Amino acid sequence: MKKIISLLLVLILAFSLVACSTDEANDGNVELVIWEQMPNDADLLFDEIAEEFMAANPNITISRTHYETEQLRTNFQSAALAGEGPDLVYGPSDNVGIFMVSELIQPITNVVSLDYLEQFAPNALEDGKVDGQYWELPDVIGNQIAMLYNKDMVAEAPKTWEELVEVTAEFQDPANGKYGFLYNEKEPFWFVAWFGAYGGKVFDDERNPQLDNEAMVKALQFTKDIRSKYNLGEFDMNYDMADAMFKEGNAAIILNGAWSWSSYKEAGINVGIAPLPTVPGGSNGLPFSSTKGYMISSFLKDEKKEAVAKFFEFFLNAENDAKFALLKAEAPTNLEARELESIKNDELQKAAVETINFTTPMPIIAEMRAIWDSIRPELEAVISGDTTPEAAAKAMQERAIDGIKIIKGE
Amino acid sequence: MATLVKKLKTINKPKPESQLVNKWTPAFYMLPAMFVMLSMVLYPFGFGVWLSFTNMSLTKFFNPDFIWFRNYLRLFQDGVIFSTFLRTIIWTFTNVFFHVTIGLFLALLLNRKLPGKSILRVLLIIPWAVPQYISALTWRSMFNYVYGAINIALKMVGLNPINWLSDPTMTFIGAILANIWLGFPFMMMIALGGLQSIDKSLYEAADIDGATSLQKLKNITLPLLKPVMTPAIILGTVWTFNQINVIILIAGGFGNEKTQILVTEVYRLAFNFYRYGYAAAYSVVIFLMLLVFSLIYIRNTGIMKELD
Amino acid sequence: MSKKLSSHFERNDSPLKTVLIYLILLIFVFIAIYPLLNVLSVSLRPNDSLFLTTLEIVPDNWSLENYRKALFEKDLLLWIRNSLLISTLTALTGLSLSASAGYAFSRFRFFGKKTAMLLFLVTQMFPAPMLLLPMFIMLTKLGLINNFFGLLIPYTATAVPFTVWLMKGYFDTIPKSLEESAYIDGCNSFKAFYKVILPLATPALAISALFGFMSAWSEYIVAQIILRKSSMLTLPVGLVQLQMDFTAEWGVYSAAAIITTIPVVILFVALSKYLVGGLTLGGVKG
Repeated sequence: MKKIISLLLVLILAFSLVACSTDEANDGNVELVIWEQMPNDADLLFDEIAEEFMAANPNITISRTHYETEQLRTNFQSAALAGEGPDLVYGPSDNVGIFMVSELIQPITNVVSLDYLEQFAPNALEDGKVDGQYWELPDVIGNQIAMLYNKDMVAEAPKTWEELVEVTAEFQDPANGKYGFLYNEKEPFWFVAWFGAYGGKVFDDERNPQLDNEAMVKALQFTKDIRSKYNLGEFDMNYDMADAMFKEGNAAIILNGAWSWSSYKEAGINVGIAPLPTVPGGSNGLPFSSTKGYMISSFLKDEKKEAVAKFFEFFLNAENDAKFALLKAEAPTNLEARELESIKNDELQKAAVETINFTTPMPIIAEMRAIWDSIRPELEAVISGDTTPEAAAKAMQERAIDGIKIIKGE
Repeated sequence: MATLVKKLKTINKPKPESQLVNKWTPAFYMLPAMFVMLSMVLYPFGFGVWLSFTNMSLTKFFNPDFIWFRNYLRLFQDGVIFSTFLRTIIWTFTNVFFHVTIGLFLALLLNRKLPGKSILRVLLIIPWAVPQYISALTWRSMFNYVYGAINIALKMVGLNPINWLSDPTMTFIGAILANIWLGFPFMMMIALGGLQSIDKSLYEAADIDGATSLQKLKNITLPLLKPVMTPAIILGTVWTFNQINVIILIAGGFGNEKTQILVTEVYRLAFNFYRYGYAAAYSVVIFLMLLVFSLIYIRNTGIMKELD
Repeated sequence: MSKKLSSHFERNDSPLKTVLIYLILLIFVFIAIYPLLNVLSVSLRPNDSLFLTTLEIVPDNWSLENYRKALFEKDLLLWIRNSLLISTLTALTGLSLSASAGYAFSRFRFFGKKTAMLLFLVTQMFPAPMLLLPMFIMLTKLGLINNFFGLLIPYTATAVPFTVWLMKGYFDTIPKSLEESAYIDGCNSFKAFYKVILPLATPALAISALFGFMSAWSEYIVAQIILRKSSMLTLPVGLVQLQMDFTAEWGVYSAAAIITTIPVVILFVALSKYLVGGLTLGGVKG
């Protein structure tokens, strides 16, 4: 018995030593460490392109680590405090504000020239711009929510809310698990589309929150009305419910983001993608759009700068940028990539282009966190009937002001 | 370590032993565990305390200023901490109370002669065996208004469904239910271990005296279980007080402060709002509360006396 | 009541009381296992029926497709290997540390003993979120990031405070005369501990090992900041990745969750005979 245990111990130790071989940088060779937050298929594509890149540049190795959104943020911060971490970070642009304020990233123009940036869509670059500096090199733009309709149930996309109510009414039968319309009602990312439809903007030009206004009250009232007045949706409807019901053909219309569109095709749904309808007394639902891209760590060693520039040139050339864009149903930022046949002929790309005109850029400043955190509880309270839209709007504004103070360390 | 063993004495002193066991012997046994504990706790703890005196935050990330007690001052000016504290007390007390009573009750039943009880016992331990995040997520889905198992069951017995996830009070109660489920097997097993080591002859003697079951429970079982249950209750209280997973996963995040307890507030301040200094001050206060509670509890139950 | 039957039950219990006891226990068993059955149920459902308003466990059109996906399309097997490795290591390290420290607490008197025992309790009181950042900095400086030893140390530190108390409690129940006779036979202190006392403490050792194993098996937060290579991820980190973001496949996740739970349940069943006697946190007089 003792022998078995000690044998086991030795085996385990040997096992674990193999598992943690250390990687030391060799002379002249550069290792680029990248932390990314990409969906599953995209990181496989990344690896493929990285192989090609490393074959072309034998002195550069790329090592990639995958994280979820929150993990990436906190781990990057902790690592920087400990004096280590990645050279490049890939993720959504809403990290820019936070990383920039805490001096974790440097402007991309420290590595690439302004001339180089001219090949990218100006509105995409603008998304990563704070205080006159570009902090992110975006590879895709989009990520917006759109209206998804099952063409076998609804022939044509409704343009107005009234139309939507009309065409979906016949499918709404909650007792039998059938729905006309479902969406992730408690999630602020969805809710801001209604706020935008009534003309609301979360920040004024001085970065002060502006949540306590008519637009917010109307948006909250509309959210409430979806179930109580128009008899659509369902109690406690959430992301998974909308997603599953649509995939099962039990929901006629849902609202979901660009990341999900291809999964409905794969599930065999005859899916149509259209902008959100106009809301009663307002314009089209106006969801946020944003870019994803690469940010450069403040601690990037000078000898790695050239490698980073080469990396960008390779990964963001028209051909490779198009590959990433196709995978995620988001528009490429490389202007040349937008002219490629593969992009022009792709159905999801068409949908992405068509719906992006009905979006507004998501603010990337660090204060945004406080906006999200202030909307969520009040939105929930309105939906459950614990508060009125007016009181909720007022409370949101107070929460947002407090939250921003906390973030700023005041 | 030398001071630690200065006053060393062994309990009994037969001659051969005193030659074999010297003053370094306890240190020899203690050191490895002590080393691991201190290395993992001392530096992080010291760092945390230092952090609580700084204004480290998003804008002061690399070079925070030393601001003395300002975080602590702010903490007590901020009224939220008192309601959160109250909620934490409710959370902890309710959970530990039901962990212990359900655990003890089941242990008493399982301590009887019952065919098949070993199977029942294994099945009753399952909530302890399932990794916490899996059970918490499962409970969340069971709380769904339309498709959750709990409301479906309520409807089947003719009751109205409950809005578990939309009403913060109900969310909090739901989290408590889930956490009670999570924690009773541990207390059950501790109590069962204690029950089995009670000398059967005590009960036989009580039977001869004509004692009722209730009297036997009150005069024999409970007093004898006390030394077993006390450390478990202290540990259980500390674990429950600092339980993060269940609340966050069931409430689906930090959104609503009506579902937060002190430790989730620390998490939110540190990792959502990046207020590392302020969050550290919160942590120190939590730590002191638990320390004071444990010391009082230990003193009142007198369990440390046995250590001599 | 026949003689044979009565020997299986408590002497004084009426049949009604026995039935009642079984009923109560069965109700609690149902409550205890239902959530797991719920996961099982979702894992057996094909993708087009995740939301059902019934309480049935095995759906009519059940399939093992989700299990196939979890095992062969995701890295579940790799995660299981990593988790088995780190959990076994934690169990063994925690076991040796807590057995020896518990022995010292049980058998010797020394200065600062009470304080030391309290210290083990006190370590549980500092909120975990605040220890994360400094712990991470420390492990980075020690070069233990992306390394299973970087996990082993914090995991052992999590498990040990409880298991030290546990071992101490169990050693208290073993008569001291046993060592004394071992000394007379010429054993030194360590040999007496190793050869005579440890084998007698098997139940508590089993529980300590189980506790160490479990604390590593289900830990997520520390693992996700320390492990970076995808080849090193442990089960909890992998599972959370399956379920996080908006692309969760609940069927696959549930299958993976069931697969994750099975080894722990097997361990519990295998060690169940020790579970009762081994959990002794404090000595019972009497």
